[in-house]
Amino acid sequence: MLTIEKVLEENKNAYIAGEYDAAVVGAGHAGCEAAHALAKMKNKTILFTLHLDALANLPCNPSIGGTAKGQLVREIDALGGVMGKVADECAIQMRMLNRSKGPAVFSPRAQMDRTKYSYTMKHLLENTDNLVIKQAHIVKLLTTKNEEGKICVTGVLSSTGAIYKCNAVVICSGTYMESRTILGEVITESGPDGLPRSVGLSASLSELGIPMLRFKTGTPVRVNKKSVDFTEMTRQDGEDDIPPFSFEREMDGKTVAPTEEQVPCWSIWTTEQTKEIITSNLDRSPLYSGIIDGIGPRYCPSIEDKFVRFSDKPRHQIFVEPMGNSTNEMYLQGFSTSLPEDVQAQMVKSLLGLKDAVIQRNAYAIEYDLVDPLSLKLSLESKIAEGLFTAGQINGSSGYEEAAGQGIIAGINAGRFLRKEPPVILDRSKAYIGVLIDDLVTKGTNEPYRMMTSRAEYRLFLRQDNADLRLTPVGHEIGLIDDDRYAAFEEKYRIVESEKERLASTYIAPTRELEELLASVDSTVPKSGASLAELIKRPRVTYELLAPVDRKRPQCSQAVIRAIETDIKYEGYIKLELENIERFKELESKIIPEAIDYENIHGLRKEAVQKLSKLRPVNVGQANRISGVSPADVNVLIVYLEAHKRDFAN
Amino acid sequence: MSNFASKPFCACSTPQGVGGIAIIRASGSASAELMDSYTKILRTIADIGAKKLSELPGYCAAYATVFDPITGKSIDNVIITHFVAPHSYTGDEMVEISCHGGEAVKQEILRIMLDNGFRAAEPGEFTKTAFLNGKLDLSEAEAVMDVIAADSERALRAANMQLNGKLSRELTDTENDIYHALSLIEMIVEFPEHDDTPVNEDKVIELAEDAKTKLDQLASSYAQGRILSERMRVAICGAPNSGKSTLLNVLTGYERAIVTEVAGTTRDTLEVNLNINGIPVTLVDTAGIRDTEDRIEAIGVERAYQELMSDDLVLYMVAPSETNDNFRYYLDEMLKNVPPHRMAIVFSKSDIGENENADGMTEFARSLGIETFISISSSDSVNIDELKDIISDYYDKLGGSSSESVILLNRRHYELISEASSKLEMAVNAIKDGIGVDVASSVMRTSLELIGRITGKSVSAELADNIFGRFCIGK
Repeated sequence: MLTIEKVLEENKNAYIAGEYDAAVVGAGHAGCEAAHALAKMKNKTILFTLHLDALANLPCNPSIGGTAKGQLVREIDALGGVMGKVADECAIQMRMLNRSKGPAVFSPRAQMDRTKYSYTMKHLLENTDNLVIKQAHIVKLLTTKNEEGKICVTGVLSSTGAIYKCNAVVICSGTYMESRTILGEVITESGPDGLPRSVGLSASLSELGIPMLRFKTGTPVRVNKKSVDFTEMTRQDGEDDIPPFSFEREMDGKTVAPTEEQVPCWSIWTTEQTKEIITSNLDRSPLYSGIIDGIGPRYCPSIEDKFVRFSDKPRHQIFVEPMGNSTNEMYLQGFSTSLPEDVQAQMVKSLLGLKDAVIQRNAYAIEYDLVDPLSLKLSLESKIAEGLFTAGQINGSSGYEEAAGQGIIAGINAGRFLRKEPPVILDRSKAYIGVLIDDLVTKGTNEPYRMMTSRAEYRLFLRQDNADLRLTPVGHEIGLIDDDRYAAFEEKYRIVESEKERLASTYIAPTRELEELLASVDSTVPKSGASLAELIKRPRVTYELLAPVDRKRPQCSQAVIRAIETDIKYEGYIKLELENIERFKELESKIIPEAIDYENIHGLRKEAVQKLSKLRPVNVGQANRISGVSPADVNVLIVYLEAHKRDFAN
Repeated sequence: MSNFASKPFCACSTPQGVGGIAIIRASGSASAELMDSYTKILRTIADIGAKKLSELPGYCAAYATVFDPITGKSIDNVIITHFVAPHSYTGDEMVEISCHGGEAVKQEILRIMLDNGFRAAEPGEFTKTAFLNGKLDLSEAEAVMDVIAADSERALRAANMQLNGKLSRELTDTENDIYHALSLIEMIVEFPEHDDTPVNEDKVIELAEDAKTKLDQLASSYAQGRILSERMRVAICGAPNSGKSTLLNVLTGYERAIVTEVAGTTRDTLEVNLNINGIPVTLVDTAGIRDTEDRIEAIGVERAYQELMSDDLVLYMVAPSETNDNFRYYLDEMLKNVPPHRMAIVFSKSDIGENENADGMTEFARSLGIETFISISSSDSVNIDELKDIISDYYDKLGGSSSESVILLNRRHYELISEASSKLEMAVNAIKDGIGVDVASSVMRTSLELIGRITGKSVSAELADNIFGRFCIGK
């Protein structure tokens, strides 16, 4: 344990550089959200970055959103975060994925102008009250022991000896802690994009007894657009009228960039030649030669990994994506690799349309240190050090959106901690962010964790379109959503409700006009007519379609119309989902007393006793999700809690 | 640990009513020691030599007396068995008292125990404790209950099949179909931009429908399973004096009903439980069906009609003396309450003679859809075995299943499986109507959750309590 006094005594460069409520270490997507939330909650906050020009960097794919990730961005925005706003401003192409597969999995995704994203976020944070941004290399976490003997945070120390005193620290170190990049046999002690890495902080956490892990991830090559032959590629254009990520923008009736200003993406396939080059050079892959010992993400595998694991598949799809409006760089999504530089060049040239491609940046793998997320509370506070919060890849996740989702929660809860208020915990029925954090903290992860819609049990309710309904009241209560925005939000849903009522009570007679309208979507008119709501319930019948027979309809925004349609069309299914959520909450509401001694519960299997004692779940629902705890164990626990209710009450 | 939880508990484990013997069970630490002050060992096997109950080793029985510790008066001479923790049903120390079966004896012994250190067991508490001590898992606990409830051979066979995991194997197959369908959906939902993974909606539908068929088969077996667990109700009805009570007596083998020649003697319905060809049957002797002025008798007749609605099989007794008009009138009346396939016409008293209108009556009944006819004599035991076959045939036809397939015995299982099946139907329709695969997958997950509540893969808050609560006290 390193105290401020000890540093001042031993380090001749040490001095007190400032006193803050909270420090955020790392200004990636998690750090930016955390710092912004803390500052908005009126905490004097300092945000550290290793390099100010790489703030909110997009070191991998130049896009934000996608399946499950788009939902995360909407949730962050609904809580009062910044990612959605900045992404809307920097979007150069926008699409709604899964349009044909139902509203639960509609997922907005936008291609980003990478450098614009970075400076837009930087500027936004620079203009945020209560927030200081500082380029510095934080090397130690400073702590002390409080009266109860618990380790608690007192500040951080930079490589220049500057001590920043504070009572809460949020570490968002991304892939920088003790990182090294790997390109074939060439290993470089570096962060991503050639940026400096973080040295010392990892050891300082480990010394406190925080369990550490090491993961690996990777990124593909970037090529110059000038050298690409697009005639051999399939063009993918953006879509019109896509709702923005930000609800504020949506309520103003704005969409993202109009189609004519959007930039296309391209899709190609690997060739036989690609497969041949990769398989014949596998012995030079650090993945298989044992150089890389960090664990890589299953859901975002390197191209050599794809060919090895799916050896029956002759080819894989690759997407060619623009990196911004002020650069020629194109990103090859799905083509990440850690094979040597010369092999990479051959591989890229084997792809359709990339015969003459000029590679501007190499692909590489990167290894980094992280905290075992099983050592965290659901609030993202460490179970080991009071006032220490972590968010993003340091907690084992992968992806910008996953990082930002944790960032805003860690920021909020660091703020709540400073005010001695109970943490904000979003459960699995409330938000993807809740699913993400609960999964990490309860189940842990042995690879970089990627959010997916199938991880959410209640995704019919956790939709991107209703993220505001789920979370804006929370954001308002915390202080991240101002009164004006909250009033606009309330007004939106007041209109939704009154318009739904009107649709249910407005009867439409079976006229010729209606018949023709419905025939245009292969539907028929019910003999005795129907209410507008009943008509909208039918497949393919939309609110828009019925405009000619619904002359008295009020002017409604697109967002309101979408909410109404979804509510009406999926009413039965959503009701079922809400019933499931009720059931889920029964287990979540069975609180496990902190004093429980699992060793004393007869009938629990040994493994369950160990796991439960180590993780100390807060309720039976969480206990049920711990791997190694079987349903039978949980039943034992339920019965035990029931039988000993009176003891715990005393 | 609280007083409540640690205090030993007791209950009578044998069914209410008078039997030859009754068993009182006690569980909890120091159970035997608590009882030392009101029991006295009379005899044990010589080499045990225990003077007090608490000295009796585990798995050993003693001949003893239970007495009132205040008056010193002996209540009963009993056999007491001692079980030492953890080698007992509950896993805690246990004592079992086999006493004489009279209600007064049982109540007196329980009173003494309750006054002296024991508390009354809550419903299902013995099994709950066994479960809590790791002696049973949840599905075993349920199966134990079904075995206890199953008092006929066929029910026992079906319950054993569940205990041996046949039910959960069948359900696991079904779950795998659903998981497969879900994975097809998830693949295209998670990676929508990839062109090489189109949704195979037909395959999803096929898998979901296969799973639904399996669930429906299981659900339909509950027609038999319900009978095995709740007994088959066979009503004997007909005009007064048509030989209903006599038949009941013959089938039960002893004079249970008062059989007289006076019409209308059986004013209330009378029920007898027995096994017929291995099937648990409740025979219901109804009041004679006829319009009556007598108010008490009228209530009985009313009951008889109501009863018919809840019966599985109705035997309509027709005496040789029955007139054609009456037969037709009352048959019409009864068919208002009972579908014809649940009715059999029994021409009774064949020893006295044939009903002269039997052929016409049969033809009339056939025209109304009734297919089962038999002529019997209860006093000469003619065609009684054949009548029993009619009863067991009715049961056999319900399932159309061989003895090898799983029969659902448990109403909770039946309801969950039916619900899971209807959710799969909802999912299939959502895909067919183009509502969306996301909706389909959400509904399919619900059906998995429902199945999981049987296989024990889903945990629900009320599950454990519900299951234990349904146990009879003391089991």
